[in-house]
Amino acid sequence: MSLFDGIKRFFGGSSPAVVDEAAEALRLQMQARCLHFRRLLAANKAALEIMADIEERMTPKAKGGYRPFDMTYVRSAAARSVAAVFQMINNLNALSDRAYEDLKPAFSRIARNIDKHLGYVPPSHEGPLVLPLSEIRASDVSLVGGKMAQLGEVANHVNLPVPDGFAVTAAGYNLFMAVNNLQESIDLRIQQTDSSDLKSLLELSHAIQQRIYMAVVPQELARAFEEALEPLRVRYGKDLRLALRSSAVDEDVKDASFAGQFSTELSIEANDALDVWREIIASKYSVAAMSYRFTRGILDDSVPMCVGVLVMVDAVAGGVAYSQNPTPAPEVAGGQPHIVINAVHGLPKPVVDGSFSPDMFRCSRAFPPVLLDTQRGNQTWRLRNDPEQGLVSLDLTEAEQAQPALRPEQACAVARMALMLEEYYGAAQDVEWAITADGGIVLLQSRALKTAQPVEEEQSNAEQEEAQRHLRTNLPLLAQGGVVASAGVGLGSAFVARRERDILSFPRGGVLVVEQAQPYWATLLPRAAALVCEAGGTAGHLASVAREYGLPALFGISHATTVLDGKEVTVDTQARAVYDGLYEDIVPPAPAHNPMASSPVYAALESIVPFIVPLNLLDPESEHFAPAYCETLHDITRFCHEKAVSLLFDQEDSTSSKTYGKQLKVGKKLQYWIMDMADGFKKPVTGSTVELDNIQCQPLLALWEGMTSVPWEGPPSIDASGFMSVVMESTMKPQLETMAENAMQQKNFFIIDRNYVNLQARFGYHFCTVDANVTENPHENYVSFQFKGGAASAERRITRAHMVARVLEAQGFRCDVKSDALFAIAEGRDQHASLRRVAVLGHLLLHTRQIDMVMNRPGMVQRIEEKLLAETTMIMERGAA
Amino acid sequence: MHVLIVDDEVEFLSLIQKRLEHRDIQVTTANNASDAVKLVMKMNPPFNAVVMDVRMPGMDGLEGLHRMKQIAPSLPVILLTGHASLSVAVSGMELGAFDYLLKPIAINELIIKLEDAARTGALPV
Repeated sequence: MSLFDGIKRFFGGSSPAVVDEAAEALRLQMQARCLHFRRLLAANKAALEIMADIEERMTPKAKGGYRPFDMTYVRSAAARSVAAVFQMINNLNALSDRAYEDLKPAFSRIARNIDKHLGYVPPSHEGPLVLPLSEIRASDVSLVGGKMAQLGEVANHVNLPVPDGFAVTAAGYNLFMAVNNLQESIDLRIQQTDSSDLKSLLELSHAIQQRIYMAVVPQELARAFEEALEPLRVRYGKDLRLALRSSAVDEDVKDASFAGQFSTELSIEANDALDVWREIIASKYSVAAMSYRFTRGILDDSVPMCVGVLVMVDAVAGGVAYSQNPTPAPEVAGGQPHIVINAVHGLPKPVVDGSFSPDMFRCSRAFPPVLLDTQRGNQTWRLRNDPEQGLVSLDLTEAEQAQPALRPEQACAVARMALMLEEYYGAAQDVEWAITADGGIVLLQSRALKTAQPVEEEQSNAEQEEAQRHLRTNLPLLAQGGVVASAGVGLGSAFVARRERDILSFPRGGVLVVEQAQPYWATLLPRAAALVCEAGGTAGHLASVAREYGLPALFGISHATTVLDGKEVTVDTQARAVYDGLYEDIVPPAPAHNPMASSPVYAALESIVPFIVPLNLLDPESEHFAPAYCETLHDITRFCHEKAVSLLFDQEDSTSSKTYGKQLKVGKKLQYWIMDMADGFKKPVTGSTVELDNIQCQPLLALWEGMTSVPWEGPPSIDASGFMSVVMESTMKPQLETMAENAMQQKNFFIIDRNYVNLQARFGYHFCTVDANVTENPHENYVSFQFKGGAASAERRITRAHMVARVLEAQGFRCDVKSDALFAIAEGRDQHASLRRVAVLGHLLLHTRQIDMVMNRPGMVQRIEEKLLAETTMIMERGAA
Repeated sequence: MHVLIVDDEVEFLSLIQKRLEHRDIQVTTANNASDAVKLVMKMNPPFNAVVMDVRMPGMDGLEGLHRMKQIAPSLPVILLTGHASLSVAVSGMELGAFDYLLKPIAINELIIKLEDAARTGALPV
């Protein structure tokens, strides 16, 4: 902005030079050129920021995991980077009298390639709107969802009892969405929402769910629904109560359990069933479900919501059985695999809801199975299906509490069913079941058991010993025991969430502590470092999601919500312990688990990266440094930037430098060229050089002060060798050696006016930019710094970017590090404070080159950081009152 | 500075108008592209910049941009859309859009773009 003020002053200010027509024309031309150049720089910055962000999403950091993204992010990153690069091409052409029109075919080719990979067509799901269970087969998974397809398969082929009922299919769902024009409006709303922000997600969820509640069920669907319901009315009479179970189609993503993300409504009257169906459709847009899809990279329109409408089972007991313990348990059955059953009195819902700890039974896998042991839970109430009142919760009598939920022979019968299902599917199963009043077992659901992460059950003596062996007795212990729902070590500040609205105040990276393992806490899992629950079994939904995300989780830690609240804690599942304090050294961090891998969203980003991020154009002197050889958007940005700098500053160019580019002289001529836009020099300069004491641009002088003061192990060489050339010594790329020889490499360029400085410095094969505007009005002031790349190894570059960011943050800059790119800015400070920060940048600019050379030595990073911190603090304090 | 904001979402229009006016920017609004084109045709002195949605019933933002550029080639038009699309981004830039921005946008970011755009319009052609 100040450039333009400067230009205005130059043309209309108080002391205008007497100008003839030719000079006036030249200045006008320069004004336009500088505007285009600045715009090109802005577009370049925007493009590089997007590329750095993409790179970071693809390569998760060891600490803090990775940042999930949705399809909106992928489309928007593609569109924004393409728009920014197009602007660079336009501005370069404006600077060069359209000399680079041949960039456009290269650009179009790249854009077409990107576009080709973004075309996602959701599956169509043709078929009937509803389908009776008796007609459903496993192959109908894309029509009725996984849950109902399995149930149909079991009912019709395995000969196990399942509840009577039907499914409302994906075709039914799609018809409902289409008639109400819902998908398009939902897509638009999702596109406009930052899915990583919980508050926005809450608002979005509310808005979408409202629309679904108000939407009309198409007549055709209502009729089909009623026709499917009629036989059930006839068969069950007035006692008919229904369970409506979500059964989402998840064919695109392997291992996505959607555990507990969608509603299941129990004990519904037949007349209310269609309204409840709509509620279950709306549950697809609960915060937990949307957050889950976002974290797993699942596309919204690839998950049609099918619903099972099933006759309620009047269960006296129910639960979940695993046909195999997923991790070895040496203390059980001599280390042999065994069956694990979680059971409760009444309906099985509390097992998956995590309302309390269920009873646990372990059986052998022999035919017939034998009960190996029983661990009692802490159930005090049960759920019952009442034909009159619907779902009722009843307190258990003392006598009932004293009884385990299953008798031994019942546990063995459940175990037998689990084995039969495993045999039929050829893989370990996770089975939900119920026992009716007459003692029969009914299967409610069966799905493949996830064994990606260890699942361990109630703590046996041997496990206690094992945990004890890992316990660090020298660390202060807050809690110990419980069961491991998902293995690992996590540390952070403990946050007790009691109500659903606490979701909004949960700090990113905190340790989530809850009383019950309710599925809606799943929303917070991608943001948490670990999870601790007072109650809940490892078969529950929340435990499943924790395992999918690779989040350390301990369940059954008594009084966790009172003992841990507000403390900094370390959760170590191996020792089943929660320590008071943060202990990063307990276990080396496992490689970040990426729940998005293999998702269509991840694949989409992965497929466009090759056309955006890689840089192939390295050597400006090479004959391949040409539009025809641009293969990526990054190549085009590199080409445009290089050419724009040459056009504006190159000595060979007749318009610019002969008149405007002046070589800086401090005793001798240095490799810095200065282009003064307005009032940057005290006296007019006629020759080709300018003396430092003839410069009145305050930010340039501050930058120079920073560059030349506080020597680092000997005076830095700011002579003709170019201040970034030392980086070349550690280069691994042969092209860079050549580049070091070329004269262009060693020039550094300033554009200035009285209040503004822009420095373009070479930094390896990337540019490093300082851009600062400093006036008496704090609102106009900003000091920004940007660099990326370099010749060192990727690891060192990233370490360096983070270290420089920490130093700058200590001096009041706001920093953003993405991969090895650093973007730093300090805005709105007064003149003195801003100039001090410009000087800090000058200092860092010059000393960053030495950092690369010594960063590989152990312990050096910290030393360098401390030194830089001390030096920059000294610079900041200079001139203070 | 006088800018024209074009969007079929009336809530969005009034929100942006209020925020820009709060920052002393004069705002005229239109809720469809064909009204906007008419406004561009008759406004004197001309608008300093236009911010236009892409997806609108009737004439869409790209067509609106095309017509505005025929009437006033140097008028900077910023496309602001909630629907990120590569082909729209490319077409928009090819038709001469000043920039392609995505909703939601921070008001400061929009003002910076508007100020920059207004400068372009003021440049000698």
